[in-house]
Amino acid sequence: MFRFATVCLAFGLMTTPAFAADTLTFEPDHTSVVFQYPHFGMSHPSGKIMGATGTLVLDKDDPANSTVDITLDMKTLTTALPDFDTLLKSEKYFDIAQFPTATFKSTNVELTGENTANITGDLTIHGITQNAVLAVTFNKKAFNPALFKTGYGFSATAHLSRKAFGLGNLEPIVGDDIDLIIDAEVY
Amino acid sequence: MTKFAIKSLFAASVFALVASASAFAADTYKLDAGHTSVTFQYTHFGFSHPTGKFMNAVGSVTLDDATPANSSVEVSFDINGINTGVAALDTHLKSADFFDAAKFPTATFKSTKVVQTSATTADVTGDLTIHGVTKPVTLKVTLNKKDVHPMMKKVDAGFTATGTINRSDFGMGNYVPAVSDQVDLYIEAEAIAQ
Repeated sequence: MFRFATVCLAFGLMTTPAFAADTLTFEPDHTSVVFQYPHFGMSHPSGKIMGATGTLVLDKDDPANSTVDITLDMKTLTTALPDFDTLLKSEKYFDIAQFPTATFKSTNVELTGENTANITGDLTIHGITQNAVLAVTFNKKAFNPALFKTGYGFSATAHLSRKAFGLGNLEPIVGDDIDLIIDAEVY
Repeated sequence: MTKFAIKSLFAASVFALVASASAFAADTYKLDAGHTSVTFQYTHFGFSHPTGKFMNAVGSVTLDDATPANSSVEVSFDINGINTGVAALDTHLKSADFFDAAKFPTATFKSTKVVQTSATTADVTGDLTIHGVTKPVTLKVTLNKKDVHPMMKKVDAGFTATGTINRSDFGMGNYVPAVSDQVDLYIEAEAIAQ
């Protein structure tokens, strides 16, 4: 993405040539964080959190200067099992009454390939902030005819320890290592 | 797996259950609805890969230890349980534009062939019926673990399976290719010995 963006600038395709940085907004219906964990080593249940707000400030001259600031609405947490959602949202786990959002604010972007980057930042869940690294892949930049806007699509993965965020109940029967599978669209 | 030289996971369950002096080589496991899910994933305009999930699948797995190829699985799940995290999308998917849940409220998978590929994996071919259309699909299945469930005190077998379909094969090809025809399936299942 970063090389492509530079090429775009060089060819003068941007309609706001005075600005090297583009502020793009996360599209909430196409931005999601799926979390997945091991259940007693038997299977890998998952849940999804949506309701994204926030921005990606894309620096086309120097992509490593780009920044991400995203907030997720914990009310949207869904595992497709309503009773389990109620348990997860309760004070036994995410306690969304006290902590209604989760946030990620980037502190560093390291390009790792033509379309990939490691984005480090402060991840705040359940009121606790920990360092996290997202392995991000740029999927596409294109005009979206449904929204009539040009946008970018990304996928990312990360791992975290739920104990580190004060969410360690039932460990080790239910695993501590959580996989995050992220998909995002910004316009 | 135990420390004995065991050729297949199916043979292992014979060892585990020999004390019950069962005359049957095949064991039936009932799917645990709360820990069985079918997740589908597709590509949206090439930008991102949204997912949706079905839970509360009902069905059974029969594991034949003596002849693994005789093992079988039969599953059905309610299309109305679809969950993408976006309510408007769930409604759209259930409509006549896609699944037409009013006419075809249930999806099913009945295995027709099991080919063991390693001690813990098998290719399971079966008839998948969605939207009233039946097509053969082969799932790559991994047995994650088979052990006594700590709370249920019965043997619990946990599986992960993957597969791919083209939704247009099932008459659900709206918006192809902007929204991908290819849909990846990720199944997680736990089944309790009966």
